[in-house]
Amino acid sequence: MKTLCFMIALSCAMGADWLTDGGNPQRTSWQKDEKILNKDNVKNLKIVWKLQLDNEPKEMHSLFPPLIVGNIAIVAGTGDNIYAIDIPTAKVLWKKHFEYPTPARRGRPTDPLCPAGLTATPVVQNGIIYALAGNGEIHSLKVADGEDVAAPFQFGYPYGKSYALNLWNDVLFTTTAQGCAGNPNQMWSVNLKDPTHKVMTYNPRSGGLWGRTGAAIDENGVAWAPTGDGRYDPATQTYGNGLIGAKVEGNQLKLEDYFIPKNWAWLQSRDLDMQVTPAIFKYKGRELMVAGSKECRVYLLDTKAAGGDDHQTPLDRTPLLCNEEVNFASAGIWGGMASWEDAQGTRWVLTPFWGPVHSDFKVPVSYGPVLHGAIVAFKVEEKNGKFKLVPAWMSRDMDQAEPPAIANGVVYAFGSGENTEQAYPDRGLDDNSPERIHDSTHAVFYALDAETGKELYSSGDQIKSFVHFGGLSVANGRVYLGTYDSILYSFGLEGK
Amino acid sequence: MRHKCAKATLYLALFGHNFAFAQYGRGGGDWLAEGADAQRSGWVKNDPHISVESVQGGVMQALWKIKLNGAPTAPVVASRLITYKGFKDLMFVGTGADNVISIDHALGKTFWETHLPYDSLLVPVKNGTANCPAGMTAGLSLIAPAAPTTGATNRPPGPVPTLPRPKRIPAVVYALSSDGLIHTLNQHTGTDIGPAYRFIRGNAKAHDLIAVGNYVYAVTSDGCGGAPNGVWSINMDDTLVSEWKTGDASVLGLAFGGDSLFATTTEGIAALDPKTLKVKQIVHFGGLCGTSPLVFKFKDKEYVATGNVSGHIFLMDPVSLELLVNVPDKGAKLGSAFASWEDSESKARWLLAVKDGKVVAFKVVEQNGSVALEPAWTSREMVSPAAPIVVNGVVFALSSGAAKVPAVLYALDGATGKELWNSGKSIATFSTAGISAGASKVFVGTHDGTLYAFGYLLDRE
Repeated sequence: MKTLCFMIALSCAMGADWLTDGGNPQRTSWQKDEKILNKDNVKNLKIVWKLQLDNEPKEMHSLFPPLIVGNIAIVAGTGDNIYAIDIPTAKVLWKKHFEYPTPARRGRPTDPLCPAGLTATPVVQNGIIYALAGNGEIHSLKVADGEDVAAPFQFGYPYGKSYALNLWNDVLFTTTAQGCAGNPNQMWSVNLKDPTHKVMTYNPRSGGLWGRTGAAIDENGVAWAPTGDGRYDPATQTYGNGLIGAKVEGNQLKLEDYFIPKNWAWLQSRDLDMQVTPAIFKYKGRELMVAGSKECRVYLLDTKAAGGDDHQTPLDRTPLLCNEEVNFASAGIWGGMASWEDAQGTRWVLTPFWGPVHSDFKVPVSYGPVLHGAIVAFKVEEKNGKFKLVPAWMSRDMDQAEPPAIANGVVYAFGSGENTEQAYPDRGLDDNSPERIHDSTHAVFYALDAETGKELYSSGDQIKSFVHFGGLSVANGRVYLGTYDSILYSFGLEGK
Repeated sequence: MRHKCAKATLYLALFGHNFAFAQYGRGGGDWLAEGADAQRSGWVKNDPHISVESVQGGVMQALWKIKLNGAPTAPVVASRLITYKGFKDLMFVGTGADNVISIDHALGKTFWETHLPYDSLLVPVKNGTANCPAGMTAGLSLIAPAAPTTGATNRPPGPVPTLPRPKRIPAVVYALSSDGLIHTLNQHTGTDIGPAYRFIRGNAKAHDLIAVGNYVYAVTSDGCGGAPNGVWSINMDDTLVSEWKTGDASVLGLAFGGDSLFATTTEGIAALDPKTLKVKQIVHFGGLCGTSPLVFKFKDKEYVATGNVSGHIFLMDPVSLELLVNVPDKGAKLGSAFASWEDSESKARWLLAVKDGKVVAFKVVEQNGSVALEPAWTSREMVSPAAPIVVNGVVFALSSGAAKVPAVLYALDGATGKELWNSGKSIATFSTAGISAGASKVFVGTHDGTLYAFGYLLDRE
């Protein structure tokens, strides 16, 4: 135990943690404190270790992005497991399995949308892991030993499919979607300091808030989340196919602002949901955010007035990057965005997308045909008060490119290798896990030059399984990725 | 008002079948076959964007036009389909060249196109006549499939997991090719989901194709291609074909009501058993019959509407075929089909017909305990108007035009006949097919193979 405490203390000295999904509450996926990996040495990346965990995948889900606390990686798995892994030795320090009676309601077996079990990436604050078990209870565990530091309390619905937890000023946030097990689709919050643990919610009356990393939180504590499929009717407080910002006031979670694209009805008609967790960042003294949708364009918004007076006018909107076919399943932007600032003060925005690049999308630098997905980088520019997202580069082709992470001038990205088909020529809609798992391949991890998009490293076929709704974590010279077969991969440099 | 002019030769052939196929109340925005539904109402009951008020407000726009490889049949319009290429709003048209085309009507883009190969020992007719056109003549039909799936997908080797779920089948569209085969096409791909079955003689002039339950129906007329005139059905479960041959009398159309299938011929009207096509009752008119039947409900009772070549409009009891209403005329030229709709608020029931180049509207009323047709309004004169249709209280009428006279589509207030909008010079030439509607759009095909869409523009940008 003394050793563990020492290790945690040491982590503070190392200074490069990854305590929440997307790296920070703003979900930029930017590791600012990386000192070991750089664009000159990532060509030497290798799998430093891979660790088979005994987590049981549920539907297509398995491991969620690790949280890094110094030398400890905290990994949550769908089997209601939390693992603490000693990074130097790749040993499991402790494992916590949440036990509870089987809930009365659950999603339909074989339905990828509604897995039974833990689905939210936990969050760490002050050495405490806050984890949402599959039965909807929040557990507060010590990073050091996994022991409960407080009694669990109810936060969500059992098997309700919550998305990644976020934490701001002791208020915990999550979002829910797809109505799994009867769960309402809404934003949820609870003040950890409130002894009654009153659950505060805001329901935009939409199809689901399924941004991969839940809500992103701005400097005023407004939690922003995409609302997925649905209608827009402000008269009835219906905010589908948009982005809502909600804030805790007193003991209520209240709508603060929202943005709805003008073509929301088209998005709804083709199931092109706004469903990407935004990334929030500062630029020239203003706080901006970027969001996207399956339609495959990126919106630039001001957190102080998202969409302007009519809630429908973004600062900028890119042309379509992909999804010329207008497909709801295997094309468009999925998951989340990313953003970073280089040494010259240039603000960059990154988006992944699935499927072929749009034939009309022009980008100055690219690396061959893009048929299955890619990362696109934009520079944020301002001229005479007008903000623009200017395309800078597009990566090589990736098989279903997932949200990237950035550290020390290097973009880390991966193609998930996941089969994302939900409908078939011979039968139409038939989204089912067994068939998709069977037809999936394997993930490929890449390192790219953040300024040019040039490939610096590829894992090739070293990763053996695919990733569904997983993600990257970066800290202290290591990049982590968990796969469907419950293997956690740690990429790094030899001897570091 | 009793039937006076129809000298009845009445054959009673009552059968006890309880054939509850084609029920009312499908509602929604689909246009399933010629005349919209099995009753041939020509009515899209609900539409989120088209109404008298919105058309007055300027909602109707020329949306797109697409050039096909032949004059299209009136399109059938499906509900939103979740395909392997995404959500699509599909409509389907056939052309005389035995092609079937699926068009995403939100975009005006072809989704798939398939050619139905000619498969008959009969020599195909290359050049038809005005009365007996060559190639595929029947419009397409949607409605419930009952067919096994045979499609395949590309996937890596290895055992396909057993799925604890019922096997799903695709939505289908039925097409009757010029060789007389009935095709069941996968709406997602345009491929036959099973074998095409021999249905009618090749080179016949077939029309009024409609699929109801497990049966597909069609009629033949004018003895084209040497094919007998008649009503035909095929049970898609066992491919058994039934027929009711009508001799020299061409069959004008079909409509379902109650337990019967009503067929009008150039000689009269018959009530058929939908499964066997045996005649339950038949009435021969004194004058030639000239209009397809239409079945509607008024105050919870069904009526069959038809008319003769002298311009008379008849309402008949669907069980006895007793003539209940005869709206006389002095030789007016009656159009080939009616339309009927009910005002959702006032519950007023309307019957629309084409007479002497004008759309005429009758209100169905009760007078002295009997049903009657009360003349309500008459439209402007048009050139060879097609059968009118109704979308959410708006009557759409097509002046089909003629050589050097382009077609013009009109929107009229269904209650008053007031002209609300017209397509002006948007349509370049004359139309040979009727009009159909669905999903806030009205479709017009022209003889040069162009298909036009008018209606509500969804902001995609």
